[in-house]
Amino acid sequence: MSRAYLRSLPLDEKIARLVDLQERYYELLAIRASNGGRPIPSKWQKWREAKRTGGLSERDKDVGTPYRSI
Amino acid sequence: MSSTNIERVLTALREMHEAGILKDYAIGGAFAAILHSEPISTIDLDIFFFFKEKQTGPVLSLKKLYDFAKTKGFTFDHEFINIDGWLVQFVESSENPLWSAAIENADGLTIGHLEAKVIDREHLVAMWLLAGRPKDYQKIGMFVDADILDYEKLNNILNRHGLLVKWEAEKWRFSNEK
Repeated sequence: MSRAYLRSLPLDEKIARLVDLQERYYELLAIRASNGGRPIPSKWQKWREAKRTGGLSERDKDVGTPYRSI
Repeated sequence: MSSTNIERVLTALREMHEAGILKDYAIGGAFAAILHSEPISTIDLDIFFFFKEKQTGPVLSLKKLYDFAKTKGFTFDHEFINIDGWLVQFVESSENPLWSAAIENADGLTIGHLEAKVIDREHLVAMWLLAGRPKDYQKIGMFVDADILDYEKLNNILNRHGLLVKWEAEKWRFSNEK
């Protein structure tokens, strides 16, 4: 996939690809950590927690799960 | 449109503006780089902003932002507000002339069905040059490679903010530099 193609994507598609990148990068970090490598950096742990607590999945939306707040 | 919840962030920003908390704001950082160029990995979304009411205390307080977050049920810590899974970092910009100019001259881009103010490419480059970290230079290189910069505009910004000498010293780092 060329960089020119990536640059030409609509903005919402670029954002969707960012989300995909984030998830794949976290997965790599988790694999590295589980195989005795460096632990997952704290900022990525924070990102994961934000996704878990703040990001409503499509399923959650369907059943109206409320946001969690402190 | 792909579902990323980003419209929730844009709506929250508009609501902060309408509630009289934010005077003005614009998306910056790596997220802005993505919108102008291509997807790269970043965990957060930087919002450069001015408060509507000038702060008078010696220490900047983000209490109004946190109070707003509470009313909306967003989680937060000292660094980020979590809006629907997006880690949003707010950067108060009134004391920095370059950041202020970046907000005032931001582009209006349409994301999904919403308008978003996004710092323009040339101000982003100036901000990254000023910050001067390796990841900042990488993003400048990305813009240079993509040939998406207006160099006359960039030079004017660099000159206005005293960054021309630094640009000349550092531009060897960016391929296809002009």
